[in-house]
Formats: sequence, C-alpha cells, structure tokens
Amino acid sequence: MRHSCRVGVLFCVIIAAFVAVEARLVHLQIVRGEHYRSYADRQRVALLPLDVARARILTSDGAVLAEDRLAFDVAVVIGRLDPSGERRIRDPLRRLFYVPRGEKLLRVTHADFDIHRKQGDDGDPCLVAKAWSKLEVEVHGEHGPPVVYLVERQCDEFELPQQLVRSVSELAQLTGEPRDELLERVLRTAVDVARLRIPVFSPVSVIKGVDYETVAAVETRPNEFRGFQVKTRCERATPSGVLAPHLVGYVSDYDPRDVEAAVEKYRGWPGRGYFMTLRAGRAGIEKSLDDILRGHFGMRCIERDNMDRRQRVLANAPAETGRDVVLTIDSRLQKIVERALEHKVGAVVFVEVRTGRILAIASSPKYDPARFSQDYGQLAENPDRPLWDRAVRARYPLGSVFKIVTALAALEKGCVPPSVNCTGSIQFGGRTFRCHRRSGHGTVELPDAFKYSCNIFFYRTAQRAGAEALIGMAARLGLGRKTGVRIPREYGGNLPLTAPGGQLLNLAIGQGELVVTPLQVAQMVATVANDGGLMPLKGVSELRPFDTDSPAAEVLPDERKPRNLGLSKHSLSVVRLGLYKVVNEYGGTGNSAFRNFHRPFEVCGKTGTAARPGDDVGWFVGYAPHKQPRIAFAVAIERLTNGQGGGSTAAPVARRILEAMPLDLLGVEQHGEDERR
Amino acid sequence: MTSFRQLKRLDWAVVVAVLALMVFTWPYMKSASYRSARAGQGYYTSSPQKQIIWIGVGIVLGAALLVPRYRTLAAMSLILYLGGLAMLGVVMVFGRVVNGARSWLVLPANVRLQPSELVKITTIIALAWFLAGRHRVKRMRSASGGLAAFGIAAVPAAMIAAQPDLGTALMFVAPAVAMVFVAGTRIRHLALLAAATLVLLPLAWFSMSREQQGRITAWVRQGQELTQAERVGRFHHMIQSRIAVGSGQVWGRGRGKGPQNRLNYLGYRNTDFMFAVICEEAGFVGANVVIVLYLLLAAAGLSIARRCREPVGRLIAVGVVSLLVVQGFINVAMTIGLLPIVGVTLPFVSYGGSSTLSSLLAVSLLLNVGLRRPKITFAREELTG
Repeated sequence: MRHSCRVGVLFCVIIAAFVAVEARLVHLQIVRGEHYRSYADRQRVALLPLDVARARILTSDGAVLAEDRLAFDVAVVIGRLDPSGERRIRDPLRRLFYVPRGEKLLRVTHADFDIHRKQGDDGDPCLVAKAWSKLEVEVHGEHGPPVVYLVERQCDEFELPQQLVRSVSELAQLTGEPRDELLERVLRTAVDVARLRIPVFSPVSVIKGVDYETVAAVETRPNEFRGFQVKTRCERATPSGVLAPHLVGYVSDYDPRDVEAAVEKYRGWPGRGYFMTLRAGRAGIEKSLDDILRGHFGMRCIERDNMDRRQRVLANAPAETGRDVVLTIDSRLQKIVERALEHKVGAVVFVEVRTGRILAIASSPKYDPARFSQDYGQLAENPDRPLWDRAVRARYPLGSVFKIVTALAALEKGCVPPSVNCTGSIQFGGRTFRCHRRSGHGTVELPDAFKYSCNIFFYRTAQRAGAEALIGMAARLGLGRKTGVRIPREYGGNLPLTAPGGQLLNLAIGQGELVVTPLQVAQMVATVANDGGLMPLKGVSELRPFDTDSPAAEVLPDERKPRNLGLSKHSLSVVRLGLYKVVNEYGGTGNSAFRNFHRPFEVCGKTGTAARPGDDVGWFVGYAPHKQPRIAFAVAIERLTNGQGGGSTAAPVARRILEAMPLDLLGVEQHGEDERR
Repeated sequence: MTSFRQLKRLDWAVVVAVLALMVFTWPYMKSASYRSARAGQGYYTSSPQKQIIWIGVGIVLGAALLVPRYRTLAAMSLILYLGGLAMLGVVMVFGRVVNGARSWLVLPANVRLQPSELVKITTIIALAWFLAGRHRVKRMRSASGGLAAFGIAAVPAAMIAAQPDLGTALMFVAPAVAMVFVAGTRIRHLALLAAATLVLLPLAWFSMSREQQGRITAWVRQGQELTQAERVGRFHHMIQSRIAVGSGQVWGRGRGKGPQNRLNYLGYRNTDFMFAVICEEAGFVGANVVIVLYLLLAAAGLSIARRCREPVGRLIAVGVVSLLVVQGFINVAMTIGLLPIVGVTLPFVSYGGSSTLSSLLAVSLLLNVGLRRPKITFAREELTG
C-alpha cells in the first residue's frame, strides 16, 4: 500500500536518527566516559593552599624582631569584571597579541600597556589602551618540526570598558595611586591570569596595604567596584623598630618563579590551586631558617559550584605553623650598637666569650625590611651599599689586629725576640718597611709592643717565627674560614697559603692578601679571651612553638664542636697583658679613646688600621672585663680620612657601646659601679 | 460518542509509553530542580510539583479531547488555525519577555502560557484538513499544492520566529514535511525543495543573529582546543552538557548525586538539558530507557497512522508523531553534541507547562485517531462525520 509504505519510510528515518544518537551515547558514556568523569571532577574540585602565619623572630630577651600582621589588599577578579565590556580582557592572549592561525602561543614573557585618552566614535572622550608584548610562539611549518620564536607584537588600540574605568578611577582617588598605572596593572593581571592559568574567579591583588576607608568602600559598594574585592593577607612587620635588619633579612611576596614551580608541581592534581599567597624569606635568618619559620601551608580540597561557591570540604590537610626562632641577640645591646654605628660605615659584632653566642651584630648603613620593595632602587644605588651585610660579607684587611696572631705564633714556638730596637724602619729585600711612628719606638719588649703597636717588633718576630707558623696560627684561630653561623652568604675570607719574602712582613701586621670578616675577628678575639677555647659562633639560640613563650624550646642541631686550641697559659697571659696595656696605660693606641671611662670593668683591646687602596679600615677589637672576660667584640669602620686610624675611629665607637653596655651581660654587679663613683 | 467499549480500543502502547516516560523521568526532574547556593543554602525550586499539576491538567484535557471525533475537530480546523494565529498576535503585543523572546502570556492567577506550543497542534490539524481535502489527489500531483501546505505551516512559524524563538519555529518544519510526504506528494518535488533549501542555507546564515551564528560555530568547533574565555563563554552549555553526559558512564552517578547537575554547572537543566541530567545520574542505561520509550511511542503512533484507512486521521497521526519524536530527537541530539544548541524541550521529560500540555493534547489527538479506527467502511465514516 502506497501510504503505509511512505509511513514505513518515515519509521526508517526515525530508526536512523535513533542509531546516530545511540552511537554518540556509546562514544560519550562508554568509550570516553572515564575522561569526562575526571573532567567533571577536575572542575568541581579546587585546591586551596591554606596560608599560615609565618613564625616570629625574637631576641633572647624577648623583643620581637619580625612577626606577621594582617594587611588588606584590593584584588581584582578577572572573571567578574563587567562581562558585557571589552571582550579582549576576558580572552586576553590570542586576540590581544595577534596570534594568527598556525601559530601556537607558548607564553607571554612581557606585556606593557599604554593608556591614553581619545575621542570615541560617539564624540565622547574615552580611555583606550594599546599593548606591547614579547611572546614565545611556536610556528608549525609545512615540513619539519615546529620552531619556537620570541617575537614582539603590538596591538591596535582598544577601548576600555567604562565600568572598569569608573571603578579604577574611584579606587585611585581612595588610595592616591595614579589611575593609569592602576589600569595598566589590572590589564597586566588579566594577561597573567591567562598565561599562568590562574582560575578567572580567583582574586589577584592589585593594590597592596590599603587603609580601612578603602576597605569599607569596596566592601559596602560592590556594584560600583564590580570585579574588585578586598583580600586579607599576612604581612611581615617589625614591632621593635628596625633592629638588626641584615641579620633578620626580609621576606618577599610571591615570587613568579615560585608560582610557576607550584603550578608545575601540582599539575595533574584534581582542580587548580591558587598559589599567589606563598611567601619566602630572601635574606638573613628569614632565608636560612625559611623552612622553620614558614611551616607548611595546608591544603584544602573543596567542592565548588559553578560560581566558585564552596559546597563542602572533601579533604583537609591542616596548615602547620612554623616555630618561632629565638636569636642569641640581646635587644638592648643591639640597639646600643646600632645607635653607635649611626652615620658611620662599618660593622660591629659582640660575642659572648664562654658560649660563642652572638649578642649583637650590626652593619651600617642599615635599611628597613618592611619598606624594602619600595626603597629598593634607592638602596641599590647608594654608594654605601646598605643592603650589604658587612659583618659577614665584608672583605677587610685586618691590619695591626693581626699582631695578636703573630705574637701567639711566636710565643707558642718560643722564638719571641726578648727586645727589639725600633728605629722607625727596617730594610728587607731592597724595600723599606716602616713603623707607623717615623722616629721609632726605641727598645720594645713584648707586652709593650702591643701597647705601641710597634711594627718593627712584629716584623722581627715574624721573621723568627716564619710564615708557616703565622698562617697556621691564623687558621687555628678561625681566620680565612666561614664561622658557619646560620646567616646566608657568609664570606669565608682569604688566608694566604704562603708568605715568601716581604709578604711575610706584610702579613705580620695584617696587610697583604689576608682579608677577613668582622665576624671571624670577633671569633678570634673571643677565643683568645676564652683561654684558647674556640667556641663556634651561634646566632640562633632556640626554636619555640609558634607564638608562645612556652619553655618547650628546641635547639638547632649543630655539627660544629668547641675546640681547645691548646695554647699555653704563658703565651695567652702575655698577649692579654699586651691588650690590657693598649687600653689602660698611657700611650697605648687605644688609651685616648677610653680616657675617663668610668665603668666597673676594664676593657682590653687592640687597634688596627688596615690600608686598602683608596679606603682604609679602622679596627678595634677586644674583650671585657679584663680578669674574667665575658664578652668579646670587633668593630670595623670604613671610610677613614687621612691620618685617622682604628684608635681614633673604631675605638670611640667601641667605647660608646661599652659605656652603655648592660652590666648583667658582663657578670658585673651594679653596685660596684656606684661605689666607684 | 465515546463509550467504554470503545475505550478498550485505546492504543495502550502509546499510553504506556507516554506515562512511563513521565513517571521514569519525574524524579530526575526533581533532582534537576535543585539550585546550589552558598554551602548549606541550596534549595529545590517548585517546578516538579507544578509539573504534576500541569500533567494532571493535560491528562484531563486530553481525555476530554477524546470525546469529540477527530473529524469534528478537523472540520473546525480553519477556526482553530485562525484562533491560534490570533493568540500569537496577542502575544506579540502583550506577551512577556523571557530569555529574550516575547513568547509568554500571563493569565490570571499567574498562570503562564506559551501559545506557540498550542499553535503547533492547531497547525497540524489544519495541515491534515488541507492535505486530505476534496481535491487532494490533484493537489499532490502539482508542486503548488505542497507549497500551499508549507505556506500554512509557515505563517505561524514566521510569527514565532519573530518573537524571536527560532527553536520552536523550526519545530513546524518536520511535521509539515512528514505530512506532505505521507499525503503523497511527488518525490521529485520534495527533492527539489531539499535542493532549494541547500541553496538558501547561506542566506539563512546571514539572516541569523550573532548569538545564533555563535551556537553553530561552537558546534562546528567542538573537540578543538578552547581558551578559558571560550570555555566560560559561548561554549559553556555545550561543554558542560557533554561532560554531564559522558561522566554518567554506564550506570550513572545515582539520582541526586550528579555534580554537573547539583553544582549548577549545567544550565537550563530542568528544561532544555533534562536529558543531560538523566544521562549523568542514570547513565547509559537510564538514557536508553528514555530513548526506547520514545521509539515505542514512534512505532505505536506510526502504526496507528498505517492502520488508519482515512487520510485526515492518518495525516494527523503522522503529524503528531513527527512533531513529538523529531522534537525529542533534536533535544537529545543537541544535548549530546550532534546538533547545535537549539532551545527546545524534550516532550514529557522537560519541565514546562505549555509544552507538557500541548504534548499531552497531541497524544490525545493521536489516540483519538486510533480510537476511531473504523472496521466500518470509508463511505459510512465519511457520511457520519
């Protein structure tokens, strides 16, 4: 029958459609089902690193040198910027940077925006932007493997959405930042979001550290700031003022390299993480003990709906706070030291003799770690190099302070000349070696040779002791080797291996190839004051549970062991008598600086003036009290003018510090001082 | 008049297929009416309950529509047809805009009606009456008869397309073609029509809005690598629907447990994308239950058409079956990425009052034709009609 035949044809068409649907369902649900299920899980699951407050850095007497504080940022959410506006912001890379077909955009290495006012199509002025960029693109040729190029591109001007311009203008007014710079930052964030594959609904900070007024404005008027929100974050603060910045170091906000590493590390995890909050210590203790201070950020695995609203927590790895680091620094002494160093260029190290604990360590000029990023340009250009930690990184010649080593070497070898007649100069190898006093010191014996710092005496002594003994003694006292204290990038100094001919005489008074750091010198003096017991220097006293004063302290493991150098009592007592005379007897090189020094303890020390081309270094090293040394110190001052020496530059600094020194650090009773007055 | 004796002749296969479709899919519609919000504040919309009311209304009205003979209805086709056009005219003036289309009438008591759904049925009746009219054999010999039939369908379709609701307007094409085909038009006329359509396709492309063009390019580009912006932009529904379908695998995630559904990733999921929810939560098996029931409806419906020895009834049956099955196919095909996304519902499965009502009325019309399957001779039937 004709009609039923046509109805049959109709049924066949329906069967054909049925077969097509069935085939597609089999493909999607059975063949590719696993793939789509994991895709669904990837998009509903997000990984959130749980940021954790960084632990504190304290001094041994409880002053807080660095701690975390809550700060507010204004963040932009690229996915919530007015979607009806300029499409380019939502789809930044390919269209913005003209990546034609056949080219694959690998990454944007650099993007710059130029923003200016222009007459729009409707006659009204509008803001337009133009982008320059450096891109890495992969070009597929017809033959052969793809080639990667680094190219520079420039895009046409495009009009900025009015809603965006309005909210940014208001933000600029509130925060006082230039509007166009802010717009540029937002555009660059859009590019970053796309190139780092950050989820478009995650907030990225564009203005850091805003005040409460701005916070209130953005929070209460979301419609006027569409796409912007307030984000809280932890910020490093220095509640005790800027104290020991070189030792403490600084923390940087997220480092793009860290983010890229994190993205790489968590590739293949379900969901995507937001890693912009990671911070890392970049210098000082913040860097060397970064792992301890930072703790472990937690990870929360959440289920989110299409609007990024959290539904439930699927897994939770809680954050672990780090541990507070207690330094050996005494905040009172540190403050005194830094005040004494103000307006000078140099470094000071104070060490506890019996334990090797560093009580104060300072380098001048200093900087403010909290303002580090703002001030960086200025700091980097300053000829006095404030960022440079002179206490551990300087390369200073030691000058006459090395005479302590020369004397000890000779005394231990038993070859000290009983007396030397100083005529002001001696001849050696066709060269004239002078004493600093042109007329000479006359006949000089050992303890007094220190007092006058007579070069000629130590030349003779060195000649009798030999280069090997000198260098060996210097090495035993720790010169030319890193002290191993936990401060990053410590300089090891340079101790020559041999000193033939005239170099020996130079070495005898600390000139020539020998360079040391103030830290090494402080360790050497402390060793002499500690009867030849070399205590490895310590900067970190203990670790404590986060944000507590709990006594449950833990000591950092240390492989370095105290060493007894086995110096004889005789040699030590001779050298120490010499150091006593330098300060306390009339005519000593350090005596004038310590005239009328009324404290209940006596200071021993040695001055030094080390010649460097163009810039001499003045030294004053020593210990106190004389009888039972408790602290040893080294002071080095750069930028000496003509005729100045360690006695007139470094020694007054040391005196200023010792005058204000808290007596409990020296084990001296307070009333002793009162009685003496 | 209908009697209980005649009720025995009701085509139970059709009834079972339609009722089973609604009973099987309603729980999934309930699941799909969940809206996620902040944690713990998700809620269900009232659409499943409303749907039950609409189904009840549809069954009652459908049963009532069984009482008059379909030929009586066909005789009134001109009035019905013009009445339908009038409703569309009213909507054009007083209609409410939803999703960009002015296609809704708001009646008292906040009952919302989409007249375009009901116009589908009146148009099918009018087409059947026209194609089975007195001069039908002569008309079918010439191309002009077929063209006139398409004209009848084209008027309401054009009015609906102007709302603009292109998806619903396109639903007029399949019944019209199927009815003209079964009415006995020459194959070469149909072939010519197909060729003309092919030639005019580019024209159609340029007359489409950018939104519509975007949907088609998105469909062509599926499977290509997309940027993040494209994924959240115009490709969003297509991608999310495909993920929902695929992640259901064989047995599905379980009712109420599909993340694509529960977490709002799938848009329009209790209406246009209901099938994706069923695929996700009931898997390949559940999807096949729906498809097989549709196939049963198609087979039973076409068998009514084949057994009907009278052209009006046959054409009505063919029109109703092609209307429901083709709309179902288009919906399923767009859900699984076989076709670009068109805003049409899945009859008996998607939430929607007017759509459910008109689908049930269409089925009632089909059953009406089946009921009056005459052992009686053709002439007598015509005399009594």
